[in-house]
Amino acid sequence: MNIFDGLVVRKDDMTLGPGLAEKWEIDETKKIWTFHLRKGVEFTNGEPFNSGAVKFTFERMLDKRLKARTTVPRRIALDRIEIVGDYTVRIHTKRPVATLPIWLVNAHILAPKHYTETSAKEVSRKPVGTGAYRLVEWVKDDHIRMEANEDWWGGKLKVKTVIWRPVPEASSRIAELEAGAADIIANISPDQGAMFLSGGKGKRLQGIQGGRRIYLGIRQNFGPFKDKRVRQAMNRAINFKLITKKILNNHGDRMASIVNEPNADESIKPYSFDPEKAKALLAEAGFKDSNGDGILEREGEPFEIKIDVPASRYLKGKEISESVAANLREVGIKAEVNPLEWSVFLSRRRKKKFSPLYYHGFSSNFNAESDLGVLRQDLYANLTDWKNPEFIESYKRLGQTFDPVERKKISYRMQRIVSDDVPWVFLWNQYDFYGLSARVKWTPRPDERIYLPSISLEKSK
Amino acid sequence: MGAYLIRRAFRAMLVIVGVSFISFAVLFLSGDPTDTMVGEDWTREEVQKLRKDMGLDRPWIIQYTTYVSRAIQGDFGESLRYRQPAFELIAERVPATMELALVALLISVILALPLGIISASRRGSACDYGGMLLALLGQAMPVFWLGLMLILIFGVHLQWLPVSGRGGFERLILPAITLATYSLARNTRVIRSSMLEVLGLDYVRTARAKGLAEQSVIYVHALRNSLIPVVTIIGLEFGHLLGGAVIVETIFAWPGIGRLMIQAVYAKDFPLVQASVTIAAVIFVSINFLVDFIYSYLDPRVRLI
Repeated sequence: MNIFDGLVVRKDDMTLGPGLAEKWEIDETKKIWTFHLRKGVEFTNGEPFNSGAVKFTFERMLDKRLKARTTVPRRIALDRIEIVGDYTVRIHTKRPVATLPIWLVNAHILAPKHYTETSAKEVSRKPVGTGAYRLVEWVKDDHIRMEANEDWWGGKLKVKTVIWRPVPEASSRIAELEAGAADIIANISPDQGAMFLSGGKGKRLQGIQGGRRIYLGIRQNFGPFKDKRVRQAMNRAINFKLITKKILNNHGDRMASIVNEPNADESIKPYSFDPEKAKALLAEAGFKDSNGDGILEREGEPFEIKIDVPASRYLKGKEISESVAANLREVGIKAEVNPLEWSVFLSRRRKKKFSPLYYHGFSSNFNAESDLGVLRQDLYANLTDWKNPEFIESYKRLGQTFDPVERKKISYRMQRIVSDDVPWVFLWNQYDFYGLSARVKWTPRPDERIYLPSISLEKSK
Repeated sequence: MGAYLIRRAFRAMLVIVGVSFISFAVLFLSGDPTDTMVGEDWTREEVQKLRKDMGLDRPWIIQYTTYVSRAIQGDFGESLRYRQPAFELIAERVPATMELALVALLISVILALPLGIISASRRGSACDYGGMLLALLGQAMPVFWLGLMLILIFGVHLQWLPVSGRGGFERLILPAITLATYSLARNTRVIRSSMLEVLGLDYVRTARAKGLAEQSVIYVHALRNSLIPVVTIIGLEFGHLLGGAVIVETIFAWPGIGRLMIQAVYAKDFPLVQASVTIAAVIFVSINFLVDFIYSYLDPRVRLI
């Protein structure tokens, strides 16, 4: 996203804005989108940006010979691209797709001449876009050097040269920051961060609430979970404040809505920690501790479950699961944490072989329809078996509604349904942690992207 | 000699095929490459289609034989993640790993020889005990711990050396020392005990009896014979270094095959794992082949019949 631009940009606040297209509109059939392109933009190799480049880019995605893995054409039901003028282009879709602009954020516009004349092998090493930075040097697995594109349409850039280095080991990344060899390091845990924060020298840990929604999936093929009261009781049993304090170094809050800001219904409150209410709900559902061992039973069956958790995939996933399991035991549900290696976890997901509860996280593209879509039954990664008729009907309607006010109304209603009918044990929106050097001025984004134009450096004092 | 060579070559082939088979089977049992390729917004139908397109819905024995028949012709297939020929990806990274492994080997041999000899010739002295204590430490320290400690001391506190990455001699020092430590310790012990054994033999006693200086007894007469087990160890050591490179390359962000392999395993990039494991096996087998020849040079009694 630093070398290329899309027609549409996702801004720092996660709303959409004009990118290479200044504005766009949709016709009454809802299947033809007209994009008015920015004029006077050049690719970093000097090729002009115009409607031809847009047509080329989208047609290249459809080229079977390239075996492109992009899902954009499928997501926008791309039919064809029509050039109307040098700076006007139409995207025809096979069916109405209200979320089309969202998918265009990652549809990077390519320089047609460069991508036609360069061999397939070369082109993957020499990307050319209209973006804020251009690639200068690439040593595989070691570093990538980028330099600012002085003529970038988006404005003046504050950092001239950027070097990206993949350093797989977190301790080594922290050492690089400590040694003054790095300005920004990504993907560290809060306790690791706290370690070097104490060192001073202006280096700091920066946490940002990300879009990844972490939850325990509730598998309704497990009998007791068919009862909504049981699902609500589990949500009431979780003491998330304790998790925040003890495990997450005081970062993070309990998830309220399944939809991320800025599309979340703010009036929905997270489930509060209320073990008494949880016990009452379980009693209502027919669970009773008849033999006095602290574990509830119904029809002679003790309430025992496992929680599958990928051991090192999610931030503190195992620790949070342990804490949740302890909370569940306090209300009489015997829960046992079952840590799995990530690839084992994934193959069980594919084979639909999870325990009644499983620790999982969905990322987000910050759009209500996609955020709600993670509960679709045909979704590969959704194993909840949660089927709410009103939700299913509303989701269909949402996909066909283009009026933003109406869309918001439907989305808010669906968020309520999810909160009340509880397909998940709601946990939190995972934080992303970065380490920053003293001279860096930057606020990380919730979408895990490092967008270079928003970074600046202060002169060292 | 010819028959021997053919026999050895046949055995080497068997090892390589065995290694490729085992790694394929283990990988196949542990998951499916599409698991890490699909996005979270994919439907079941889309995933099924991808698996079919990639030929992953076929029985594993068919997938394996297809792979082998292509590999024999030098085509290791295309990496699923990078979408480049697997062989090419590995070839690009071999120099980095070789550089690291050879320097580590050099360090360990150059230092182990004098250490081992001194310990053996002054058996029971403070020198000997000191050397053996260090050797014990070197073998007992976990590689990742040692690497991180070196980074902390020389990279962060003293800031004498860069923390990680490749390029320039100064970036090679810390990872090479980290990788060399274990084999240095082991080689020192092997050289010491082998030297001690030779020093107890009759011909050494004869050499001493006829009044030769202790120096020439050790360096002219004993050393050459005590090197025989060392050569074997070094051959095996190289395999160990390649294995150690996986950890060292990860800690020091060294762009070699060890790191590529680990990433490929995590991503279930079948063709890439297969190719790298097979190539590592080929390297290992060839080096041991070479060792056998050096062996015969060092010890005329060992003849390749």
